[in-house]
Amino acid sequence: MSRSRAEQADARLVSGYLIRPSGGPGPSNPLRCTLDCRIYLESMPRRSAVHEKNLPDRTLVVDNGAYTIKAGFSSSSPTLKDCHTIPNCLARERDRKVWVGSEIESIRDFGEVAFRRPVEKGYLVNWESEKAIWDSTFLTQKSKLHCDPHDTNIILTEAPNTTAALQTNCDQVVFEEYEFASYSRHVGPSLNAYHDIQTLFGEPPRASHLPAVPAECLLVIDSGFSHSTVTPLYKGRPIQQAFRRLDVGGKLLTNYLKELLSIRHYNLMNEEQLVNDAKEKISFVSASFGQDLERTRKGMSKKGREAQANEADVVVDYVLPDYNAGVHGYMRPHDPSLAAKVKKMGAMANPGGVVEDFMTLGNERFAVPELLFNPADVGMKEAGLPEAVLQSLTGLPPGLWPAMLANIVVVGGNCLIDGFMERLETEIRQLSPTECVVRIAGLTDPIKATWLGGAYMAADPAALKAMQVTRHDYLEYGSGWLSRVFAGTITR
Amino acid sequence: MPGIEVLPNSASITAPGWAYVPDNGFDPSKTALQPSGARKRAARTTGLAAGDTTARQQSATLKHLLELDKDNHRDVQIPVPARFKDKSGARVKTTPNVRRILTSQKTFANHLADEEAALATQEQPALSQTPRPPAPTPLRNASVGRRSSTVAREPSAAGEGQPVTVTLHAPVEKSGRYGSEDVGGSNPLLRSYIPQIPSAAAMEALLAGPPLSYNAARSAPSIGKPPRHFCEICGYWGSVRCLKCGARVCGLDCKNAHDEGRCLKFYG
Ligand SMILES: [Zn+2]
Ligand SMILES: [Zn+2]
Repeated sequence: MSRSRAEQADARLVSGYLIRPSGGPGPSNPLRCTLDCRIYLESMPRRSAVHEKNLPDRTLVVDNGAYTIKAGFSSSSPTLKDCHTIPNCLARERDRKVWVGSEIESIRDFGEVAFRRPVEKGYLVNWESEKAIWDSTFLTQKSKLHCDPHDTNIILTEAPNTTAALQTNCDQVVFEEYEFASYSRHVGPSLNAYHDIQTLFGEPPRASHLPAVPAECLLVIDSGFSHSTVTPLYKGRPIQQAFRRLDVGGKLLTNYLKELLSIRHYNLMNEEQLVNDAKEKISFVSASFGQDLERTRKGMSKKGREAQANEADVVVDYVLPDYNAGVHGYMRPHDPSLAAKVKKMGAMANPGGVVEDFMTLGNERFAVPELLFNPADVGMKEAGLPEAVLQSLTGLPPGLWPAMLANIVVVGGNCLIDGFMERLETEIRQLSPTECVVRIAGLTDPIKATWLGGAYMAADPAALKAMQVTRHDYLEYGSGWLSRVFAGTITR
Repeated sequence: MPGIEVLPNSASITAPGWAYVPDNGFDPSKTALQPSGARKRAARTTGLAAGDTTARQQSATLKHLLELDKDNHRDVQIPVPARFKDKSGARVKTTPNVRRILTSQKTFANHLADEEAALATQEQPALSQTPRPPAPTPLRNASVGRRSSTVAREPSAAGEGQPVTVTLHAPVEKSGRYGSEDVGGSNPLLRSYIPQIPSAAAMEALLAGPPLSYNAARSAPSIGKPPRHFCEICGYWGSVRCLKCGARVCGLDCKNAHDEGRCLKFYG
């Protein structure tokens, strides 16, 4: 098949999306991507002079997040179990002992533990500390991810819009310090194109014997620790001009909750871990912010509360962890009588005689994740995530909008907040042109999703070979050449 | 009532004229978080509202956002443990690049400043400084002014959006670039036309576009959402503003709590 025929086929298939733009998902879904892999391979940019030397069999996929590293070795049929999650930080206990990476899991008492994170605002900035974490993860004999880089390929993620200097730093460390056999660097969200996207929207699964062809049109929303990004992809390739970023992520939410709790309950300003745990357990995204705010109004009469008792009460009690007793924090239904007692006594002895501290939480539960939708609530001059999606579309030709809006995949830890996906879908639909079908899907494990996408990509030897740059080539052509290869401005 | 001012509607505030307090050097970082804890710094500030436009409140908001971005509330230096440092002489092969990278103390802000400086000195503003593609206009507003069929959104009291009907109609100004055409012209009968599909060549050109700079990729401010204000004590709507410090509270109870513990007059 000639190149021009492949291009014609592309155009026909894309236009297939749009002839019946208002049709919903169904058996003959016009949104279905039916591109076969031959066309895909032919239309890929040619990379002529891939070094002839074969790549090692072993490939390490590393999604290097600000909060955790998601890493594991690829296989011909990768699963989530192959992915390990390593805290991407140094942690210092009260007694000033410093723990690195996965060692942190052995900390019992997280009281006043402080953290140092090599990834700042989503970007790998500090290699001094990152090297300690990578060394303990990849070079320590007892680590599950131990490998000899000389005999290993690495697939590494970076956040969208990483500065050129940070990219070069990363390339140089990978090849000059660790000396991996081959390497490719990807905008993290783009690896999600290798999931079987259509099954997420109710289509039959792809044939297992075929390599993972990237979805044709895909809009990835990645809401993580540092920020939330919108990245439209075409056949797995990022459309850089349409990237958008909202500077709200899990860290900001935790810090905001910390403040609210410290004003209203206990001083928790130095209790990073405690508040992060609490956030994960109590937060939800409100479907009706105004109503929930009324429902949680302080001093609201009991009668008024009962009038709204048709729904589960928003107000809950959160019992603080007791590190000495090894008890985790947990949420339970609000008990007004108990609360009254506590008010009198200052603290409440439970039947076992152990002192128990708890906080009665109301609007803190949903006012915090609300920042993903209304960052202006803390004065941030950025539009919320649904509007950022629409801003991203303005960077694309209108002909792509229907296909993008019909193929939205959401990843990142904030997906796990109750009500997040529903609210996101509702608001994107409200903002979108009425003619467009809006379909939003999550993945089984939104935290490991990017890793798994990368592992799917690595599972196909041909795709892997086309993607990877060997250390041999790096030493021959240099760092500037490498960054141009990854930027797609030169082909090999 | 002295000292407070009841505002008509928390969601429709347009700011000017209310409760202006001359800048008296208020520094939110000096406000104690809890009066009893001497070394606790205030991590929050007054004036969460975007509509509060006095210079003092703007700087308070900026400080607050910086606080919210911190990895630790305290400023801490956590050294890499000695067991992870290379034993002297064990590694002789470290390259100059790696040595430079490992000893770099640059923060992200430094790198960002470098990037911005590099962009500013580029003679051709063409590449990564390309002005972000068409002004960040939400699609639903894009056809306003050209299409009378667009229904303008009425901001509700809570500032929550209502569904709107929109036409999908050439909302991108530079339509020529992608080869999309205004097929329907101004004929409203044709307004549900199908936008033209980008050609394969147009797609390649689009994919070849250079990355935006970090700052250019940031989500632009929301259009049409009125700012919301919350009580700094309890989190309910903040319809009352303290005349002394500009903080928002919901009513008398919280105003009293504010006066006792948090109002700047105690620390100013
Ligand atoms: Zn209040
Ligand atoms: Zn005040």
